[in-house]
Amino acid sequence: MDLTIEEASSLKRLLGEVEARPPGPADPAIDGLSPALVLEPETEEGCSRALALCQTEGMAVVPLGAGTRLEVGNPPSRLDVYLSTRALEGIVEHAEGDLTVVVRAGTSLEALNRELSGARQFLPLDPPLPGKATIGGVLALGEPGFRRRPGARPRDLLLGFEAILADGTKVKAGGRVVKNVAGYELSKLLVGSAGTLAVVTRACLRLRALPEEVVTLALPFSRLSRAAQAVHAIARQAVLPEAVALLNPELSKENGFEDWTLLARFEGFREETSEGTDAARKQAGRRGAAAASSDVWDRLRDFPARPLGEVELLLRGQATPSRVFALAESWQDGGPLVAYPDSGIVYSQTRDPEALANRRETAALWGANTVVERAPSSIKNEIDVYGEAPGGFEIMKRIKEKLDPRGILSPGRFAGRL
Amino acid sequence: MPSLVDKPFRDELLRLLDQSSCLFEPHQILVYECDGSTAFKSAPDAVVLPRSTEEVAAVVRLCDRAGVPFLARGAGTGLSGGATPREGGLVISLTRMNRLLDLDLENRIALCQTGLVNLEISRTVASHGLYFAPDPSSQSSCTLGGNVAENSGGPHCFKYGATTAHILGLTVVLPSGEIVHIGGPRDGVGYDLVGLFVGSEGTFGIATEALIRLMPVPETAKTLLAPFRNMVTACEAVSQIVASGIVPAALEMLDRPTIEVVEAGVIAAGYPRDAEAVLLVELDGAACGMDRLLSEVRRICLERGAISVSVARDEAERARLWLGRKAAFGAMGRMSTDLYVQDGVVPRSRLPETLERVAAIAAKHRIRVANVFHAGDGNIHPCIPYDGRDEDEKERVLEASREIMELCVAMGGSISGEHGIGTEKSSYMSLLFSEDDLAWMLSVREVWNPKGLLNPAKVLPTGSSCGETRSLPSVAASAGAWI
Repeated sequence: MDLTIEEASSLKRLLGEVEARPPGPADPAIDGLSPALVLEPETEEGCSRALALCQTEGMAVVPLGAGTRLEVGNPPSRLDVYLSTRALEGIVEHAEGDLTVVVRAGTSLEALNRELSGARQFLPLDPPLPGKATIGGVLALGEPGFRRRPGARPRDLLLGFEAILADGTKVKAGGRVVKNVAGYELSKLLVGSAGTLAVVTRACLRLRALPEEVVTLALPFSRLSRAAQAVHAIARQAVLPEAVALLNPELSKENGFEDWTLLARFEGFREETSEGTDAARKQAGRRGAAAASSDVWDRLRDFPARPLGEVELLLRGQATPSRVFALAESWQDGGPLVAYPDSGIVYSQTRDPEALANRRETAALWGANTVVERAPSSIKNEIDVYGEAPGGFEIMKRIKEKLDPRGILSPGRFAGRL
Repeated sequence: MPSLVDKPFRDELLRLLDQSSCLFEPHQILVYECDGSTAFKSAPDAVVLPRSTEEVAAVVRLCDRAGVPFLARGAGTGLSGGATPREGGLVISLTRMNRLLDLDLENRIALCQTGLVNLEISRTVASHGLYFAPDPSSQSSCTLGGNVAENSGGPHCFKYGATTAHILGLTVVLPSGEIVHIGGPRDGVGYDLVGLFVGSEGTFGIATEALIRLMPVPETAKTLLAPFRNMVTACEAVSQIVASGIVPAALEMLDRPTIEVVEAGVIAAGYPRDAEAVLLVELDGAACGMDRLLSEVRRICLERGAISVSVARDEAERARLWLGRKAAFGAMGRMSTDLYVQDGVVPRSRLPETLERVAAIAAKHRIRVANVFHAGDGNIHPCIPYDGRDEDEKERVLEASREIMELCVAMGGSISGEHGIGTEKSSYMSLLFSEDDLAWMLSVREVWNPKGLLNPAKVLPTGSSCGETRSLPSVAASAGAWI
């Protein structure tokens, strides 16, 4: 779509109070594509009007939070409008006694957690760049941060939400209580749907009390196989770590460690963290174990968002927990890498785009899938960045067609180019 | 209603399955006319008991071709009519599909047929120090498939999450008869179809196999008993425990009428009969921090006016405390000929006000209410004993029940925490959701179940349900049923 200023102004009249403007330098492009228009409604009603107009006009819309992870996904097949949720900001209700919060989609993680900290509570999500990343964006991506055990993933924490469908209809599902089976689990459908089914405008999320103590232990290992044994043993401790990460020698070095480094983060009451770290220390290799600053988790959290160079690849490998070490080993050279053994996820960065085919093949040998989170557009245009065709793809396709019949929401961006 | 299952259809079934797997005689299918909620009685025209996913798919294809409505059933312990046919047709019982197919200890996952009984899973893997966390009170009889359909909870889901947190993958027979595999042992891509399917109450497809997550058995578990003179302060203690950062495995409450009926029976648990409320707190995890947690919970309870706080000294005492709680529902059979068990949720902080207003609703309608509930989750179960032969009393129970649902919604809660919507509550859905919300849910269901032959007239209001709301959704008081 090519809009003249006059056409844009006429649209603005149709949209009423909704802010409509051409994209500026602060609006990120997706794989070289920029929209003709940025709509930034300040209310849910405005958001509804904006989407209704886009559907009527057949304009392709990409919902936009802070744009910190726009690179994730296939290049859009069409792009006319960014629908920014940034103006939908702020906490609607923090029910302290219930450890729940209702928050608007454009609120940043950091702003939310700053407010919650007054009540000694927090939302245990750790997306990259939390100072910018919005709740809406985090839910749309659906990826957990370094906390990867059940209970702390976006799908576990979203209790209910309000959203706008492609035709502008306002809907809600779930609720504000921590246990609820009324109606279908549409929150599970929307988390991780990458803005292809609806635009979430507000969310009710489950919170946690701030832990009394956070302790991180770093265990260096010269051999990966030995680190794997330690992970296995730590997973059988009475006190389990809140997060476990394994850094390859290159990422270790960047963080002031050596060789392969196993990081174990314990959270909770002092008695628990102390027992947990004591037990984990016993799994250390020759070079022992040392307490590490919690800052390292901030760097791991931001790992998927950090730019390495002009031409680069960022890969997310998905393996079973038992195969995660084999995958990490086969991807270890050529750039920094972090593996999360609890969930079988490996993030790997490399400056060599030629490495992609080889890495995908070796991952497949281990039964793993490779998602290309960042790559030059020339590569992204040739592949499905999500890798495998998911089980039940025909159902996914029908869901997309049913909920977005004109294909205006992030067309082509999702798995299988939905 | 004329039978939807005619002779040619029966002959087809007999070609697909052996004779012992097909039940056509009225005396054979009588037991399938209801689930745990005995008030919804509606018999199927036939029942089949397939042994494999392929057999289920073949039967479903036949139903699809013939236009015969059908639904899946596990043990039939549900409390919302989810496994009871509303329009006749065929019941596909999965109880013969009860094998654990594969155990992967390294990844702590197991592949099971969905007719497997919940507790059997934990028994089978116990020697490896593992268990299956969802623990609905019916766990000794309910099946994994039923847990998947209802997204079942249980006392311990406060800490470990309901069934949805423990299902990684599913083999599903779609209403067309097509077999699909969704999810799997590792993260995948695309929409979270497993998350969407769990809790769809048997209206999206028939799950025949499930890949489940197993958890390590906690090193230790301690149960505290804290009787209170006042329900309000007991509820405040619950909120304070949770706010302190302690995550108990379970936080359960019984009120005075429930205490009385439990203590009068053979399952007397030793709850003090002079208490207005009994709070049961279970803490599990590592032994190291347990003393600190126990003393913290004890301090909070005493600060909030607990009469005493005692910790079960051994496993036998702990089991006795839990038996009283889990069998409370069955014990209520002493109170009257019939029992209606409600299931609603409110924000935890609004429990005291909610319970007071439930009592006021009961007084207004001249009915009795006994409360036994998952306090940590704000999931209440007002139990209303009544005489089903007394039409006037039935009418009053019905009215009170609706007012309790409206109350839960007004408190910012929900109309079901774990029993499901099924037949019982589809007409209440509009208390929570707008027409647009419901239309959206329907459009998602139509993707899976386009002809509506699978488990029709469940979950979403049918639009002709005014009459349906007048039938009293009562629940038989049987010791095995859950609350």
